[in-house]
Amino acid sequence: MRNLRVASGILVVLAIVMFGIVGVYAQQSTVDKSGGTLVIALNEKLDTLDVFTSALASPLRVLGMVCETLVVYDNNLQVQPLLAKSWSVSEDQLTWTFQLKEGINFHDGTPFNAQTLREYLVDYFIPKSFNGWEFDPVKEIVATGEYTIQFVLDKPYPMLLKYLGDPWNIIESPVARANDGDQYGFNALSGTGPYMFVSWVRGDRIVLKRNPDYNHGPSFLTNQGPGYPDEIIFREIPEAVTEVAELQHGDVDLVRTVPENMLAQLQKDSNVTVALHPSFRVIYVSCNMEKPIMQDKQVREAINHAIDRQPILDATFGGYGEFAYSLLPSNATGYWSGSKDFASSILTYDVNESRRLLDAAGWVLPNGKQFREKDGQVLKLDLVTFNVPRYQLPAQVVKAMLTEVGIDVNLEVFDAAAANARLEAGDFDFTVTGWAYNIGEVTLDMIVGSQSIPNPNYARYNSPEIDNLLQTVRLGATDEERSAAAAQVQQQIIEDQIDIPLVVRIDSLVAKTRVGGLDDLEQNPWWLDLAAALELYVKK
Amino acid sequence: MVGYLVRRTLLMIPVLLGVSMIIFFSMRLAPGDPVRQILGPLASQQKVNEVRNELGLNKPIYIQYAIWLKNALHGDLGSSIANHAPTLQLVGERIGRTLELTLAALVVTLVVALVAGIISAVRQYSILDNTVTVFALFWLSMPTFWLGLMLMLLLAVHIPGLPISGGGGPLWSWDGLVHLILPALTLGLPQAGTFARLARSSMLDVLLQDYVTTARSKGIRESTVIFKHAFRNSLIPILTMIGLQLPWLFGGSVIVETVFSWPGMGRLLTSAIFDRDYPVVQVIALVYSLAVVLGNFMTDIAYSVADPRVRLN
Repeated sequence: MRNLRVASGILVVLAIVMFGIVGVYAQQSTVDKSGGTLVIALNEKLDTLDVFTSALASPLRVLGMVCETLVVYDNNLQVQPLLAKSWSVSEDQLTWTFQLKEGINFHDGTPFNAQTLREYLVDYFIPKSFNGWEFDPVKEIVATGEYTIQFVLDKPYPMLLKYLGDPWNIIESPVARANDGDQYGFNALSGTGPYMFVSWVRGDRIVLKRNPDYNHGPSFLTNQGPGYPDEIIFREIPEAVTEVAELQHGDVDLVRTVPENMLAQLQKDSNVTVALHPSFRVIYVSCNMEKPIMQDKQVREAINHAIDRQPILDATFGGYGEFAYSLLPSNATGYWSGSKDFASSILTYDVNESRRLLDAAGWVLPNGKQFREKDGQVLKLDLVTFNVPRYQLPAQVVKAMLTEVGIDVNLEVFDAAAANARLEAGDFDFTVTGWAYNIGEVTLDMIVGSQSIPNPNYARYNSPEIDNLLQTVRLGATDEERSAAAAQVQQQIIEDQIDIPLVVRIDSLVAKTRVGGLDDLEQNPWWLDLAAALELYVKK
Repeated sequence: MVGYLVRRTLLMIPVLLGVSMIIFFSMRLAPGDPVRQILGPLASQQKVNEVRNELGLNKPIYIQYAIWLKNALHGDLGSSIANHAPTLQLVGERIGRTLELTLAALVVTLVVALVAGIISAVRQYSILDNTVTVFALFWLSMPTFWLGLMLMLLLAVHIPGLPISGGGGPLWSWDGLVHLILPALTLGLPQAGTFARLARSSMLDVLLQDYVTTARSKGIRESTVIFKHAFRNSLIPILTMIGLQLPWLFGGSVIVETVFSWPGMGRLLTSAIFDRDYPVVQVIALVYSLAVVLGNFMTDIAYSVADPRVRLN
């Protein structure tokens, strides 16, 4: 009996010790996430942090941690509350009412409420933002209560909610905007996000510090706030080799979008973790419909069948990426899930079919000649593209493939400004270009909507049928109606073969193994910067 | 001397005016619309037209130049189209870092070149001389971009505490100094090759002069002959080269700044050119021109210091 008591005592002590150890570890695993400095490399040019004046994506890396949108896209690309708590729409769909979260302040101390939100939207965002057009149907914005705001529309506009979650449509302090004037976006930033702007040494680094009061992160994230690292530093490193050397041997913890030709080497490095997912960037061929040769659908089809997408992936993107079956990537809103089934039988590599189509179009190969002719005219096409590897290298591959079927391609490569000038002027037959945007409905509007001629609708795609469908995509009464219209647009694009999708680039996130929280971040198909700010931590 | 300085200073005016005209007109003749470039494809044509009008880009080029010149004479060199900040502020933030890098590279160049050149000349045709010659040619033929990456991968990766890239702290701090090492070596070493060859031949010329033979025949120590009698006189061609190469170093920093993420003016220039950010390109080009003019100016002054027989007036 005594032995039993002793044994029981020992068991109790052991259990206490075990629980204690587990408890200490559990506590440590929570506590240990906080603190430290996370250094992130920015490999793209950064001109300003003023979202109204920069057309670059790079400022969003920083702004996504400092500022927030009213709503946010979750891991299933469904709209969820962020600064808004809830919303409703009137029966006639002309009034959207948003209840805002309470007790939130901008980093400059200005309270976030219906009044400051209205002031920001009316005085700053709508007149100054590039995305102001997304709010054209908004007739009036009214603060009907301290935390209630209404968007009054002149016509039903279901896309409003989607646009409010667009990462470009961030909410900033109107008071900071007014007080800091021209310095806003350079030496000052004020949002409601989990990190606060500290300083920017231009060309070198941006320093953010943790917002200790942040606690309103979206519910689909593991951490609702505050963020874990004390500081997040963005280092501007334009050269890819330098960036990767810094990651492997220097002080950089995390790199986004590493050139594909370096990924294989990084995947073998046990000191770093590599995460991959499809990027938003679809590379495509765009045929200029103002040129008589390209107006012949058989010629466009011949170009499509002459292109083998695998060598493009291999030669240009190191084998990373995937074939594109739509102008939208699969992780963009509005993507038609039937794209692959529909397009895979059309976007095929078939040199014989390509040759047959060219013969049928009257472009025949005279004996002993390399290039096809029709009525004495050689089939010579001007291919204009940009001097960045993601477009220049596929263009070179396309040129070689078209030469195989007897098309003489004159490849001209320019820097962005000069290439845009050529493409806008219509002085080209076709181009290899790309587009990257997470709101697919905007992409469709931009690339194939007639209002976007000549830039970025370089093809001069001018189809009343598509324009009508795009109108439905924007204004359709129900989600189903709008999705169906978006699907029809994507189907029509594949059938017309004016814009021919080639490949979707891969996006990469490479981090030192000391960075934790990558698993949580990877759940989000957009790798939201807000999610990075809240989930990533530095292991001790 | 004073008259000379005034004359040279006045001569800078037409030079800078000429450069400003060439840059102004050539930039605007290059294809590409800065407004579309900066606003991006999402901006409406109306917005593009508004901004173009606001920036005066719809006016004839000669009118634009006249306006720019008038404003420049009043101290207003315009605002960056891409960054929406005054160009002087943008350039002012970065010029110091480029100067740091240039001067540090010059120190590397001179130290390496003079030591190598003198050894080569004194031990002519020896193994040491041949080795220095081979190394000089090696550095000379090395593309800066490649050399930078190699130094980064060979040194920074393996030497703890040697930063791979970035600007670091201020120059007077330890952090600032160590961040300067690799960029300065990358920019300075290829020039050291040129200077070493020059220092060698110049030193050899001087060592064959009668007064050096006389000094030796008097039994003066060889080190005194070399450093006191020969070295100073061999400096004139080197000083000329410094005057010519200083602007080259200044301009060469464009590539080095990109490789090492150095927050200097060269990187600002690169992005400004691609963005067709006319006002920024204009100001930086003027700064580089000024560097060329001042480089020559300082060389002339240095002549008189190195050789008192040279009179500037």
